[in-house]
Amino acid sequence: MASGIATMLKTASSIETKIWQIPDLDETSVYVTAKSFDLGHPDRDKYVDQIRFELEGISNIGESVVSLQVGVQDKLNKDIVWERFYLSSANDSIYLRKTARYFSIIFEDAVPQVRWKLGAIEFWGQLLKGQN
Amino acid sequence: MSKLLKTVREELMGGISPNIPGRSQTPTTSLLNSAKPKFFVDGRNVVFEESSVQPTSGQRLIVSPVNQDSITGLLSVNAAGTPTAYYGNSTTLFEYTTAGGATSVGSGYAGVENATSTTPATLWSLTSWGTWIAATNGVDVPQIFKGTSFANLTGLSFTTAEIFIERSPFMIAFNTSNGVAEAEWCDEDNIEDWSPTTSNAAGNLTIREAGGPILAAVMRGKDVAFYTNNRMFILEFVGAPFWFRYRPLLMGIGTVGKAAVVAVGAIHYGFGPEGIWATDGTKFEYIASPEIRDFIYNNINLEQISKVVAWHDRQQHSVIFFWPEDPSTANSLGVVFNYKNKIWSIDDRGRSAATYAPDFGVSLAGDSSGYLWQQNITGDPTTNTNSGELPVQDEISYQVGFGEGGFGEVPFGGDWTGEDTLDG
Repeated sequence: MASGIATMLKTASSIETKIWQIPDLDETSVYVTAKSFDLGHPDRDKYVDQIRFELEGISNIGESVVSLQVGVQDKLNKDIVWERFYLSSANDSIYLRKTARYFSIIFEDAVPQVRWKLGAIEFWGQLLKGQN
Repeated sequence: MSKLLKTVREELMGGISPNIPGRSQTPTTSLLNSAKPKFFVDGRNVVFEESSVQPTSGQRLIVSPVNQDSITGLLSVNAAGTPTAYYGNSTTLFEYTTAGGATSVGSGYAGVENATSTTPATLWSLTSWGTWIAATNGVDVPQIFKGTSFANLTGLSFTTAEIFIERSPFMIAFNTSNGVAEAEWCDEDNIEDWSPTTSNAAGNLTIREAGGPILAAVMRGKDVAFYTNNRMFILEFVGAPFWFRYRPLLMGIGTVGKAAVVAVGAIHYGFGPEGIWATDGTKFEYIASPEIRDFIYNNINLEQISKVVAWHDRQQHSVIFFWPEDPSTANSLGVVFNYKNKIWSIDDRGRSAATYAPDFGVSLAGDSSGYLWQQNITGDPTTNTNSGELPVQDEISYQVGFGEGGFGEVPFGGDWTGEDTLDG
């Protein structure tokens, strides 16, 4: 039988004030993943010296923990070898200095608290000869 | 200086296209899907707006519950100038105001948290009736709130109803204890008189073409669209002496649950047994890319599929479908369709109920732990609680393809233009 007994519950009007707070932070983050792309040259190895970004909104270390993981592969059936770099708007490029046929990226904000915008990613380096 | 090998710019705006084993990345064929290159194979909680990838809009926890039951229905109203939310779980109905917090205003209900192979999970259908609130869950006597607490609604011609929807000056009930394919309505301007007589406007219809239970109902203009698991109908007002009539509109689209259809202007978006679709009532199209469809149906907990929730995120021009990822019994993932850019992304803020809440300045959502959230926070919530405020009306447009036709309808392509209303 339904009844209408009024009972106060705990409320959280002042508990949580983070802007882009995501619950279960240990399990959840903001990220995008692109895997095993060939930069338009599937038959050539590439030396990638530098990766640059159009990244707005992250001005201070500590606002967010934005990182770029870059993975490299010589063959699609090989494991991806990853390396992580931390980013900010003031430091909008990283030096990879690696040669591979395929590249992967994971762009991640582990503690999303500010709004950023990722508008482009540029890969700088050299095309090398093909390698079987 | 090294040579520029490639700029990834256009590809960033292709959305998320999960890489499903055994399925290569396919070019899109639907005009409701993006024709942009597929670059990202995974991602969570990002949106693709303003030619960039961004974190999705923020949220703020406003009610931390004593119990841990899932919020299964949510309604935001302006109660005499006070923004007020009503929401419920399997056993209890609550009222929330910023000043007063959350208060139980009805309890002892017999809903079930989780679906079984034979019984769907209990979800509330909440709707306003003037200054009153009506609530029904399909297992208890429908409830009415007149200002203090919920109580049994009187004057009923049935004992239970799955769905209430207000079509002023009538309240419509679907899937009642008189039959799963029943549509019943109260007397004109009197929610406490449902028994048809020669001197009132109450009435009922049996939807003989339904072929199964009526599972959801959503306003479509001044009419009520309602859905079984594979058909769409319309209930139209015709006046005395019959008051309403129904028409079958489309076969081949349906819903998996009470909350799985949402209106965006004149367009309905729904999560059905065969996929996610969009319709204007004359034609429909399954809009999920093959990768998104596989991502959902390879991972969903089918036994709990009746919990799927559709939410129109006006701020981010998106429709989000929250669903339970196996083995979770609660909604734990959302697939996001940006109808402006026609691209898909994935959200892992599982929500068990969500509604547009203009009186709170933002949207509201509930989760499977009973937490109530303000969504669409875009500024500093400590200094500007209405920083996520949205325009009430927002012009939107779509281009549609040559979708499948309905009962005797001739499908055709073209542009849909809709005025974004308060529906959904």
